[in-house]
Amino acid sequence: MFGVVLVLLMIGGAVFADLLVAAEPNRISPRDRFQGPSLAHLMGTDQLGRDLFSRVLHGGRIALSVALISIAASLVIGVVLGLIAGYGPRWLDNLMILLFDAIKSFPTVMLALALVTLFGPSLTAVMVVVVLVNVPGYARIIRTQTLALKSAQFVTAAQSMGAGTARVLRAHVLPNVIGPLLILASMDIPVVIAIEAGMSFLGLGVRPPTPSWGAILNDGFTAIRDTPWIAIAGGLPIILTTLGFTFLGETLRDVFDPRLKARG
Amino acid sequence: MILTVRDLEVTFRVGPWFNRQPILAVAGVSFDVDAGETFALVGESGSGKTTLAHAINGLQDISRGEMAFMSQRIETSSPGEMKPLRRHMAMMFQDPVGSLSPRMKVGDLVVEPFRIHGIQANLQEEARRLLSLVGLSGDFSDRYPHQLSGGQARRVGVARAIALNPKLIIADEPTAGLDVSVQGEVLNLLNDLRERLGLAMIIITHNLHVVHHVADRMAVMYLGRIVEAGETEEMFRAPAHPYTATLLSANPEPDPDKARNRISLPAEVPSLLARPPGCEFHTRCPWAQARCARETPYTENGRKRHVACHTPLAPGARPPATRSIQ
Amino acid sequence: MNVLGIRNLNVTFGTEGGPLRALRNVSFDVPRHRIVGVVGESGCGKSTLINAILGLLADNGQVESGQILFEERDLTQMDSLEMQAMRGSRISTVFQDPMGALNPVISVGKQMLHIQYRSDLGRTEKNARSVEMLRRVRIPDPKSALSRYPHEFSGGMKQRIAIAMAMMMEPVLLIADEPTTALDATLEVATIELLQELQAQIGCSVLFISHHLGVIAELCDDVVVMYAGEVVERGTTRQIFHDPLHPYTERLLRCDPAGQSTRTRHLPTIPGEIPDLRDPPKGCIFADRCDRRETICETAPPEVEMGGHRACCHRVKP
Repeated sequence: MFGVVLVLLMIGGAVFADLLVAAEPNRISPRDRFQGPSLAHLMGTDQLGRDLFSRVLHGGRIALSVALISIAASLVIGVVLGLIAGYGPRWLDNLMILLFDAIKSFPTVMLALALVTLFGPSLTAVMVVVVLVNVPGYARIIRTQTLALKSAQFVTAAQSMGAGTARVLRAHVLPNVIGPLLILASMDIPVVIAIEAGMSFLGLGVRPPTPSWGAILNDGFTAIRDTPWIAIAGGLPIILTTLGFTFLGETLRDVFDPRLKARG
Repeated sequence: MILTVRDLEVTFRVGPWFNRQPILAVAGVSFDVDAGETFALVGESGSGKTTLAHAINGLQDISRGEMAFMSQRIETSSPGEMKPLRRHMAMMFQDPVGSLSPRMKVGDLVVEPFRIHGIQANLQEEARRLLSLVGLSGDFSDRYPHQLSGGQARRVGVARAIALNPKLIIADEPTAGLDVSVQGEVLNLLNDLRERLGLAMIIITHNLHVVHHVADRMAVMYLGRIVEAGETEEMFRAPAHPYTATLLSANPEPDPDKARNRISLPAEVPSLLARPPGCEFHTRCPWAQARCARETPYTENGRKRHVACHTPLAPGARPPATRSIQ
Repeated sequence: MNVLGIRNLNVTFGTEGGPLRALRNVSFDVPRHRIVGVVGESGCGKSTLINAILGLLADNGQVESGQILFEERDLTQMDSLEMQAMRGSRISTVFQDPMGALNPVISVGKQMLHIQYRSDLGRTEKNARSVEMLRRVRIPDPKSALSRYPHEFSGGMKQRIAIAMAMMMEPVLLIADEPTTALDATLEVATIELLQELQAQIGCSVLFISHHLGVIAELCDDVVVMYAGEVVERGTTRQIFHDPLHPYTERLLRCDPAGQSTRTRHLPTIPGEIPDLRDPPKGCIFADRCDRRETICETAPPEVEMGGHRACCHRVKP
């Protein structure tokens, strides 16, 4: 439950950022630089005098939307490919496994650099990298479990009733294989936020002055001795999001596995 | 006749790709099932009875033979043509809990056939009706399979099997894993439903006591072949094939003073990879003669009593003291 | 003389819904050179009983009170090292699934050597004993069997190898937990005959657990009937099968389709469910499902004895 509340708070903050703080995230005000937390600036200000609370909330928009969209895309693609590989004919399975391994063997940073070189730095590039990195792993998880369920008695029973491949996969296989993946995916969301932050820092993702947690954190590092609140403003949301989605993952597991729930 | 099976063969291929060996799991089986009758397939593990059931339902590719259900050929039907047939042919699998989708509630499980065949109905009401037919209260609708006992899960399986009023139910070991006191409940239920709904049943089992009480006719399988078939009562009274006689005598009965008169078998079951020549039972048959190792006994593919043996037993025959061949 | 004596054994499991009293006041004896069968349906506590004897109860299980006397010593008081020394040498076990007893990646001969690690014999003598044991359980070509792996044998042979291994150290007590359940009728009979033969040769006692009444009737000298964690009746096999005192035993025997010699379309059953052992009834444990229930059944019935035949039922008068 704690996870759900935390995640809802993060999403709410991002969605209603404009209503929650009056200060504009990108308005530079050199007079107000390096101010500590106060009522006017809940999290203080940075080296350009921008309101950090406003930047954190607006940064959350980017971080969360990048994370949610790219993880959702990875999930859909990974599940579909995994089900096909696991349930389909042997040769197709072998071919797809080869493909997954080929993609996986690229180092993430190389992949990112290659994409940015091709298409220029943008949020889309970040998301494509995340999808490419995650899909092979997700598909493999689904594929392994599907393979195990392919000859399960309840699957044979469904076939014997006349259920076609689509129905068998949707109604009988998917509900039994999706649980662990959803847990993994929700725990991957903070990782994606970190990737976004990292790429933004390298100049491969969000360009300044667009607010981003990674960028705030990096700004904070340079001045961490004198003005620690900048690093805290960048780091705190990352920590809270990590916790929130991790707990959410655990809640999801209870929902998706009635057997565990029965045991309490 | 609702189902006819003629010269059915199922071959599996085993071993590494460079050395694939064909295994004949079902080796030329023929039988018929009439509307409204209960037919039992009896045999020990590895006798091919489950494979045979899967083949009838089109879950298993066959290598030879013909099958017709409600006058429609099974083995040449495409998946699309199989679907309407499966509406009239329900299967029950060995593991009562394992044949139910673990993430589905009982209420959804029993009406799954309606969803698969796109039949419009008040599904909640149907679920209640089906559950009450098998003696489960409506409260069970909200349970998951793991919250059921073996007997309850078996009832859910029965409810699902009769959901669309099938013409034929194929039940693979319907009492496996159930306690004796529950076993009777499930068999009574199947018997009641058979009478009320007029459906035909194929019961696959190794438990001869069960067969005696539910089946009209039976066939005994050994290494993927039917060695003897006929009316149940007649076969229990006077088994003619030595294997049938052995199986009947091997059934431990709950009476310490019962005279056992057991026929003991000398060797283990031969491997399907190395089928014995001649009569395949001759390696274990106490009555085996030299001829049995050379000549394959004639198997009649008729509906009446038939025995695949050179020297069918007289009623009450006892094995000779020494085997005439080694 | 008793090899094993269970005295008022109570075993409880801690569960979410409160303590589950899996065994309640279980008492019976396994006399020397006798085969005692424990019969009962799922949830009667058969497996808990075996685990309690072997000192292998799950972490949330505990022997609350009572004694398990093995050769005059109380197993419940032994530490885990002493218990370990008991298992496999003085007490050995055969399980339902023979693969549970056989290590799939070690050859049969090596495994049989491992069992004899306490013996002072040399390697050649030990192997000779293994071959002899395999011959006694009728494994064809026992010498070459030593170098083979468990998966190379059929199910029936694996179970016989497991029996050979259990008998290897000539135990005083053999515990057989549904050893024939996974086997077909002809192999089941062969296994029963083998157990009888080996028991007579080695002279051990056997505690045979099964839900199969026919097997129990054929193999055992004495029978203990368990229901929902309690012993409801015990006596010699003839007493139990010919003259059952407890209504549960009587109904159970009637349920077995093997007991019906004439063909019937309607088989007898025992309607109802076993009680929740987290809150067992105060009176007779079977009262809920008993068709001869009276008001007195709301109090716990005493154990009545008649010539060694005991039953826990108010209706039984000595």
